[in-house]
Amino acid sequence: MNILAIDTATSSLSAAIANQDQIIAQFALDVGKTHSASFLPMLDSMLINSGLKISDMDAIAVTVGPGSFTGLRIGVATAKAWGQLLGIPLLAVNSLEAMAEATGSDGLVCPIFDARRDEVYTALFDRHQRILPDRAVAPQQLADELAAYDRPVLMAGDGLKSYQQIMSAVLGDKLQLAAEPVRYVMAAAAAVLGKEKYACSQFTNPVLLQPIYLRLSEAEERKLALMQKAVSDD
Amino acid sequence: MSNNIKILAIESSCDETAAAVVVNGREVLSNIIASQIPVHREYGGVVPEIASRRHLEAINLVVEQALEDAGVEFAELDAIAVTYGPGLVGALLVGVSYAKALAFALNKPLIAVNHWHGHIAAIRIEHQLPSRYLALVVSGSHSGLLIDGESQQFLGSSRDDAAGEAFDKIARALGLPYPGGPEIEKAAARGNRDYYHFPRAFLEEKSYDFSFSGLKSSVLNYLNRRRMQGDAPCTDEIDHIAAASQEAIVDVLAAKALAAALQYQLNTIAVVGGVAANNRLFDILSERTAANNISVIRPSSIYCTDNAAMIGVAAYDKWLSKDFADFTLNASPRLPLVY
Ligand SMILES: [Zn+2]
Repeated sequence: MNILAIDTATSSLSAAIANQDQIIAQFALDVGKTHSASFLPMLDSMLINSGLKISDMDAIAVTVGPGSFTGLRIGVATAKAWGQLLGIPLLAVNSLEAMAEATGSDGLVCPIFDARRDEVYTALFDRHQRILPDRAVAPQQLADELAAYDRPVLMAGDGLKSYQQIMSAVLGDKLQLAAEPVRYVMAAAAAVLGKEKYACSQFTNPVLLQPIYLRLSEAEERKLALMQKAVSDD
Repeated sequence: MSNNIKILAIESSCDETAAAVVVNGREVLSNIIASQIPVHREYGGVVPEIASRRHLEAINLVVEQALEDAGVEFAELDAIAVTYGPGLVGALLVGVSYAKALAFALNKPLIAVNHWHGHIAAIRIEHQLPSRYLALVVSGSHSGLLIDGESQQFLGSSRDDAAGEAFDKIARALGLPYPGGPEIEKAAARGNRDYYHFPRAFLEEKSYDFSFSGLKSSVLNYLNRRRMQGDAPCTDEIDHIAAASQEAIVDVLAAKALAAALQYQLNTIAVVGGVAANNRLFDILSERTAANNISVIRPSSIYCTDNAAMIGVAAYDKWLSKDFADFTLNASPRLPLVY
């Protein structure tokens, strides 16, 4: 059995292959280049070096968000094409869950991804169990909420690149950073979570596979705000 | 290799998700278009983020339908073609990422097509062309004149607003829905085109460039002046203003196309792009060229609007010259109209 996992949700770009026993390949880049140009060449060299083809895969796991809208669409469009062409199952992996899994931590884990507009996408996990849902929130507010836990919090994800200062200012000694090799890269973890989904047949078909955006487009948000204002003015 | 080259073409540059199977750059086996116009109409124009999301929702079904209508399986395809620019970057990336993944897994050539080349190639689907002809390219983001055929020579292009952009902006000012071109044409058909004379920008003598921003401003100024005087145009008058504005646009397009055809001794003018569907443009050009034995042709309206069949036709030229893209292909939102 081979499962290919791909992740283009945040600043890093990664791919991994898991067989029944282990992760046999993982490639990653975090060099600030566009995912669109780098992804397939990176994947190509991973497959060549693994002696495998796309058609040798039994399923494709893909991180579906939250994350960068454009990044998510690159990965999801790619997985959609392969699912349709090869007729293999797609495994939709939550990217915050993949990031938390990557850290391997048993404690409180809070992944954060840069959501632009001065917010981060985040969730909270304790002993590998989710305790808060996905959301977009201001980093300062998140830091204040995390400070209420009287335990250390392990953080990971590309949101740290902009907001580590804010977190450490509020959390002090309670802030732990994921070890550098597992701070930003999550395809191998997505492969592990994908394997679990594969084992319990949690398949998604190519048409239904869609990103978790968490947010409406800005135009829809403005329209919604106007409608809500109209209702409250009545 | 079979003699019948089957290309699956994908187009997602703006607000239509489209796929087509085209054989030998000529025979359209299928041409599927999922339009998002009703969604964007609520916002008065294309919302890029919504467009990108809709493309991602539609892409599998559009491609599946294109293959089914053509009676072709993935394995029978000879190449995958995709529009890589110009257009909305997020929208383009859906088609580009999907097409690259297909070509990669099929191990077939990937052909990157310039959206303009697609619009120009659309004329070949239904028409035989002489070795040299004049192409008048008119769409929402470009107006241009070039000599096409065995080789290409650019004569001029839009310096500011494209013809289609002028239509959209004037339509919005008149309170007509998106997309503006067809709405203006509908209103204009009821109106009097001599109601008001809006200025035409012909630019320098012998220039084949186009400028429509002055016309747009003068229509907007006219409407503002009327509103300031508390004399906003009624519905009938909106029709007249639409007719007069449309006349100003097609007058310039037709005059320049005729002048270029005469200067370069071209006896065929092909009108292509979204605005080519405008009947007034086609009629005025046909009237003025009749005395000079110049024939005016245009694609059926299904091939004027954004579609993937035209991308499949343009891709075949690249197939013949083995001009394939590699997997670093990225979206190119501001790709110019060059060959
Ligand atoms: Zn177009």
